[in-house]
Amino acid sequence: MVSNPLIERYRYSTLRPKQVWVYVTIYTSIVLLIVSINYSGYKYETFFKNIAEFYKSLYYQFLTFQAIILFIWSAYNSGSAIKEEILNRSFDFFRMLPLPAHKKAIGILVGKNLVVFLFGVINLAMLIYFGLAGGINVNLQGQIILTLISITILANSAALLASIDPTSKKNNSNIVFILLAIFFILPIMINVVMALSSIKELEHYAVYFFKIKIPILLLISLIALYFSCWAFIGILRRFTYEQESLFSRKGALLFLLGYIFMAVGLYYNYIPKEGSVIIYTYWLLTLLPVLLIPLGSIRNLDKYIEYSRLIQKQANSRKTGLIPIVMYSNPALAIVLFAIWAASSAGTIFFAGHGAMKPGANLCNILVLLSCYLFLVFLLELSVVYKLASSKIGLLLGFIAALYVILPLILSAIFESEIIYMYSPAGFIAALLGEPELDISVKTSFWLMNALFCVFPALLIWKRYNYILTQRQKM
Amino acid sequence: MEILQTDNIRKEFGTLVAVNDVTISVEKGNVVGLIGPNGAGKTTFLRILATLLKPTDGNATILGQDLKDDYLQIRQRLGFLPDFFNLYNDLTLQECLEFFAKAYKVEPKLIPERVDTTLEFIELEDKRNSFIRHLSRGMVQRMGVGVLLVRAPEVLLLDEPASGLDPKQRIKLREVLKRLSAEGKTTIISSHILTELSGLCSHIAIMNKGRIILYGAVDEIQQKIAGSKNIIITVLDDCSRAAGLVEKFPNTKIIEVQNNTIIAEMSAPLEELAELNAHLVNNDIKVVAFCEEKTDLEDIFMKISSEEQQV
Repeated sequence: MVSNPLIERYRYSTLRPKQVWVYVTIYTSIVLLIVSINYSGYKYETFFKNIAEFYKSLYYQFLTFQAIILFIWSAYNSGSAIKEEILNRSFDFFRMLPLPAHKKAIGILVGKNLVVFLFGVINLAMLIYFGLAGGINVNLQGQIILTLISITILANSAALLASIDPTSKKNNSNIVFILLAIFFILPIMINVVMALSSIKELEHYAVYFFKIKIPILLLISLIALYFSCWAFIGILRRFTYEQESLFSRKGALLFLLGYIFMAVGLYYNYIPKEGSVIIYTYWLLTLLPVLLIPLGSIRNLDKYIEYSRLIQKQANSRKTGLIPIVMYSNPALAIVLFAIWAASSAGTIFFAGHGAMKPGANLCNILVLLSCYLFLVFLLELSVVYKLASSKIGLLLGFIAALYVILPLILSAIFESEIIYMYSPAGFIAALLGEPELDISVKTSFWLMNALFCVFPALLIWKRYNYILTQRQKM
Repeated sequence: MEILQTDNIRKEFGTLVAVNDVTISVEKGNVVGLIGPNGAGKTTFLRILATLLKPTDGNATILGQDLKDDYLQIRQRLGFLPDFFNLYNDLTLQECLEFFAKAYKVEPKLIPERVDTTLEFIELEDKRNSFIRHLSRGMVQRMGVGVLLVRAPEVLLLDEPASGLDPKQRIKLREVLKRLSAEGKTTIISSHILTELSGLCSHIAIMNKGRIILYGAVDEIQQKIAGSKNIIITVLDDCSRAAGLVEKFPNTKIIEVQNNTIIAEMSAPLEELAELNAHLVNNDIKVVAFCEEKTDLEDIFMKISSEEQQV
């Protein structure tokens, strides 16, 4: 790590004395302000009963300060490094550096944050001191530090990953990543902030992961590290080849399997006792990645055209059928992901195994969800394969998808109907969570409606796959 | 010795074929001018060779390394200057050169000397401690060449190195490039401004619509294209008699007679050229000048382009 030239490059620019003293002044002022306000509260008012409480209060405040430094400031730095290179037009030089992708990633994550880590270390030393003086258990302090470190790694790698988009000339981040971040990272952040606010209980709060009782902070750290690993893999992919998707096919499947493993581990101990509703919350929790992974592993039209060349070459320029291209397509991956999800969801029902859970009815629910999912996946695929025909097609299809989800909810509210809202995937899932035994006729009609919706997009996609092969023969 | 060899390199963007099965080989010390109109595929081709773009098909060997498998080793030994670039604005020239030298694993004890010679080479010694953001566009362009030189790459790929420069800066950069070519570095320079490459290149590759339509040594191509040469003969007096003698000489055709100058087209080897000169002198014509009109890159390019269009 020390011999990483990128760290040295950032050392030149970030640790320039003229710059560092500005940060030192701001940091020292904040530290003095926090300490002096608390001290005057202790000395002249009756904010704290004793000196230990004074230190404990300082501990909480420095913990929040540390979280801001590590989660926000450092993530901002990591996220802006590549953007700066792209906007400054020095990105080609960066890409040409003969460093392996992991060295480049570490170079940015560490180098860009040299000042942050400097203050982070000073702050940590004070934090430990205040914690010990405030009587906070060493074990708990260790867990808190571990959580801080793991969330910092996650926030930084996620921010860096989001910023790697060489085609973007604007100073904003990738929309796919933002969606992934909202669903995966935000809940962890919220958990941590909530955990910080009720620190006393944390020491005794533990959850089961399968049969193992794990302290909640440790579990949060492990989950954060799991997502960090995948973010780091995404960074490596994008540093190695321009415009690669976040996940390879194998990566998408492994990510989902790992995610399901974690979800099963968390729910394992509760499903038999809690019954159906908890199963549906499990369904919902594991359905989210199934919805979002196809966005992160999308194959664009260029890839299809490239692949069609390969298959025609393998077939010695004879006209090939559409099957290879269908197998290569985005919907193919989406269907495999759904199949994995369906298998794990069906598994939970059989595992729960009490009378209230009717396997037949629940398999029917899975089929309905599959039909909703396929329609959304087809819309996504249309936006991919018709991108050349119209650059705004994504907007139109996004609008249709939003309408598909929201319109039944609006109509249900207008007509005060308790049925119409179930014809939206969101409404259907909400109904499932509230009242699992849905009327079979509603399910069937919703399934039929979705099947009908799927026909037209499927035909258009089929036509486009044919067009790709025809174009290839002309090229 | 072959330094670079491409084998049917192809790059597609959607249905557009930007580089269409290009096969060329470049020998050590060659300076190849890659010329062609805008959109010919020059930049894409160079970016593939620089390992920045993955080819759709085909492969290349650069310095004996495989383009797809050994891209890190190729990056170590090859320098690429993009068409429109900037450097790290928050670094001084010295820091920037040191960074690139370290990143490309130049021996630490050699770095100070390399930085000094590079700054001298690009004539920016006096700006050593200035921030890059304070340099003019021309200086940044020269500094771009500097960051390549500080690590002494074996092959240089320069994509439109003079684009966006004013004439004065262009001349300065040209001097730097001339010195580089004199040093015998294997180089590929792309440009659509042909005068920029004249006198700089040993070889030219003309690219159009993703294909290399002509490639070879400048002299060979001149010969191939010209087929016949234009001779300019200036005489002291008696121009009409001289023109008559030239006209009667085998394989020769008068193109123009103006004042005391005769321009003739001759499709014959160099020996016959000397014989014509001797023939005029032997017939008491006072020859003041006798020279071959050089075909420059512009002529070659125009000729090839018009032939391509006709095809």
